[in-house]
Amino acid sequence: MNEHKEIRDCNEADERFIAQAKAHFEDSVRSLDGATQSRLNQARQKALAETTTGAGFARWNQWVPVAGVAVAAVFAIVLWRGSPSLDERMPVTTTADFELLLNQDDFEMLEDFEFYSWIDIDDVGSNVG
Amino acid sequence: MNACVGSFAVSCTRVSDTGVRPLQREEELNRFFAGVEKRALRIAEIAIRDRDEALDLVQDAMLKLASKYSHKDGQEWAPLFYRILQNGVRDHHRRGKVRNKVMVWFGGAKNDDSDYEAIAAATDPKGRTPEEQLQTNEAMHSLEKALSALPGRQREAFMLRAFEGLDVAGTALAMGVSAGSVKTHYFRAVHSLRDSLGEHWQ
Repeated sequence: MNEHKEIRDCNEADERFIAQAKAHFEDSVRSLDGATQSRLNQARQKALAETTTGAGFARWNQWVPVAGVAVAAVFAIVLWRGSPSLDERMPVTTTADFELLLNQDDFEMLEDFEFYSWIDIDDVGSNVG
Repeated sequence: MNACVGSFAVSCTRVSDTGVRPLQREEELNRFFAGVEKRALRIAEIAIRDRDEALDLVQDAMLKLASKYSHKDGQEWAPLFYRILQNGVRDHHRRGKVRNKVMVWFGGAKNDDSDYEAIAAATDPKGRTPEEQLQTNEAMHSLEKALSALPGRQREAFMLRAFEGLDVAGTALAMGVSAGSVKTHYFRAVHSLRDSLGEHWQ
């Protein structure tokens, strides 16, 4: 309520002040130098060119970011789903492999190679016999 | 050849969705920009205290209005144009705050408003005496400093209402606030400016 009363109280002195401020402002607008006015003119021509040549392109162009994000998302999904997994690319190393490597019996078998060859020949011979 | 002429004629005479031909619309937009551009530049310049940046903001506002809102009714252009411009001014202030914070962090903060003289170097087209010109320049310089000290919303309301001459509804649209809020900001701005400039300012 007080605010409304204050607004209604915008008196003649206020109006004179506003008119004076506007006069100074307009004066500063008229004092703009030629270079600045030229740059404003160039900006205007560029904007007007946008209405004739760039409007259709701008409408098409606004979908470019969306399309870019969509393509990136599809590419990411393809990379994620289509690439061979780590399990497929790398040979599986299980504890059994370590057991094989560390199993001392295998080395002993190699050391007794002649004995096992003899058993093998004997088996062949017994089968024949 | 005839086909080219024909297609050109069609493109020139084709009526847009709003019922206005494109060339006629372009002429209207040209007149609107020509009528508003200088005041818009000064308003932006007073708000951000940098003419080059203000020129960039005005150009951006022109481009956005032309590309996105040229199909709107001509009566709506002024509030829309100033809304785009004011958004640019606010973005500029936000970037400035971030920049200042970073500069404070590195110990090199600087007040951009310290020695800004917007119209001191401008030549006077009216051919007034240097004393008269100096008096007018000083009055405007004092007004600009007082405007810079106002809160952003009050400054916007004052410049759009008093300088650009938008009505309350147009100012509300440009500022993105209610009509009542515009009245309050404008009233407070007028009284703050009068208080800070003193009774002898003219």
